[in-house]
Amino acid sequence: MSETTRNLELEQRLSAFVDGELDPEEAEEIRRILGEDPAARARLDDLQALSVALQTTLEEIGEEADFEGFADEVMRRVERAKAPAAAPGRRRFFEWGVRRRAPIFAAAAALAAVATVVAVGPGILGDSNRERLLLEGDPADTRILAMTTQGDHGATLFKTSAGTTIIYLTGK
Amino acid sequence: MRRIHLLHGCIALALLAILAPDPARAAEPRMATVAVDIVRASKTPGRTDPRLEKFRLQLADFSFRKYKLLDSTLVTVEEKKTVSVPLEKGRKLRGKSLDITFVKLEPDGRARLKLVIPEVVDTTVSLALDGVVILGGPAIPSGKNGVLFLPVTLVAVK
Repeated sequence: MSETTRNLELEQRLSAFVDGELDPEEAEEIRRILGEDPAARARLDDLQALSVALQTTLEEIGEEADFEGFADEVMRRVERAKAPAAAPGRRRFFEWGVRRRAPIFAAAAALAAVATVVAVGPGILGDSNRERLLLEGDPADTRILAMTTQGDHGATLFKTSAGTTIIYLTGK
Repeated sequence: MRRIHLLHGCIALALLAILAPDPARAAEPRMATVAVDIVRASKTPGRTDPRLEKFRLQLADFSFRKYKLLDSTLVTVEEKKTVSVPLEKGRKLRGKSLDITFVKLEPDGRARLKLVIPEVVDTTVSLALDGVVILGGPAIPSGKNGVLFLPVTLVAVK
């Protein structure tokens, strides 16, 4: 196995470790590696910071979201939040965009190209009867016209770089 | 003169027969066929079900490494009616459902669908044929072993 492949595999396992997805044996193995490898510890710190930055960013957007004239407002916020882009990452994340516009949003230096469209808190989009386009994916494919969430749940509308529309639901 | 009137009457009847909508056809309700899959995505390395290759590509932006198809359901919904799809195959989804209402057939042939997971989300989407919208995330409990996604695909509409 090449070093590049080994590093990639370790990064994936570290990412799963940060998200608490590893079973106890695998988690113990990662702890052992972290105890021996300063580079792995540094990478873990990066991943944890990335996770916090992404979470915070999405929550902030959700709190600020105002869906009156929503597209322009979102774009304005995205522009405001722009930071100098980091070096291109190995992996693409999401492509932010509304109606095929796709500005890149660098929420934190660690986030090379994270992208979404809108994050909404519970009940923000309360009027599902109005004909209002919230998100358009591939024009030939999917349009989201209305959405409400209940209880403590929130949602983020994504369009991936493949054009797939995702309603990512948050909250327990 | 009478023969001319008779001829006009026959032509009018023939035209009516041709142009009037077929009563059986007019009464036939519009139907949308929708596929609902339950997929668990995980970051732990492993083999992905080959049936999920399209889904894997759709979610290539994420860092998931393994996808497992937990369930696949095909439902046909009549216009203005609702069908409830139980989400029981996701272990922690028991008792939850995805309620699909075929709101209307749009002029451009898209189907407008209302998708509801009670107490979680209520959304209205417009899908073209083969169009997909994916619902997913931590609000749909899947335990610690990944995230559940529900790709909803418009398979047919008539």
